Amino acid sequence: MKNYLITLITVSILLTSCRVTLLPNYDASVARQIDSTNKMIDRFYLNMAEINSAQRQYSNFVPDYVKIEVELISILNENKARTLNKDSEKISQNAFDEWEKYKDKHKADNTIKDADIKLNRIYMDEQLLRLRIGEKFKQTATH
Amino acid sequence: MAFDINETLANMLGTIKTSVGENWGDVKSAMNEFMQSRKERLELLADMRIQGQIDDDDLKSRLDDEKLLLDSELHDVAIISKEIAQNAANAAIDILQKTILAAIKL
Repeated sequence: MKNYLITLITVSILLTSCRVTLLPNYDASVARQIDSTNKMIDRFYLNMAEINSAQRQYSNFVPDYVKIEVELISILNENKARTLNKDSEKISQNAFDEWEKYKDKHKADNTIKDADIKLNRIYMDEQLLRLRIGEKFKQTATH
Repeated sequence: MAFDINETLANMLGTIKTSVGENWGDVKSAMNEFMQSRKERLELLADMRIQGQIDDDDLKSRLDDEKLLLDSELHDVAIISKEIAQNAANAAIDILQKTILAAIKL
């Protein structure tokens, strides 16, 4: 009986520290950064759409491209630094790759069509939404 | 002192089933939203191509964007599945722990 009791107490103590962890803890600052970057991208493309197509030379948008690129790199690095976070890291990489593709095309063409402004905004919004959904489910994971 | 291992295991299994069942709807809901927004984007692309707002090369490029987005969606599904598994496993551990603590106190 004594051994049985000791075993139960030992198992109980072990269970207290035994939690299954498949995801990193929710990080509110990363979630906020995703939201603010999404707003920056929306503002960037909505402003661009208001500008006459003849004035859409790449050089007119470089500061904003760099500002948003810095935010996307920061989100990527934040996600890389967290353990058990390979999925969010990959989504961040996808968002960054998409942004680079759009930037490079604008640079190569030195202009951008109305249709591309609309579609670039939609695809960047969708990528960042996927990133935000991933964060949301880390919030509801028990630790 | 009462510790019934069979009852405990049955309770743990029941908790896992309930937890997974309740959360499985999250995967279905996310997938439905992904598919609905994909449908809307593809309709928009088709309209833009028909109206000549984009050409064939643009369309191919956008289909590459869709592939990248699908990749992100599958990573979201992986995150949701891990959340379900983690919550179910921890709920089962809680049941075992509570049962053992109750047995010790008796």
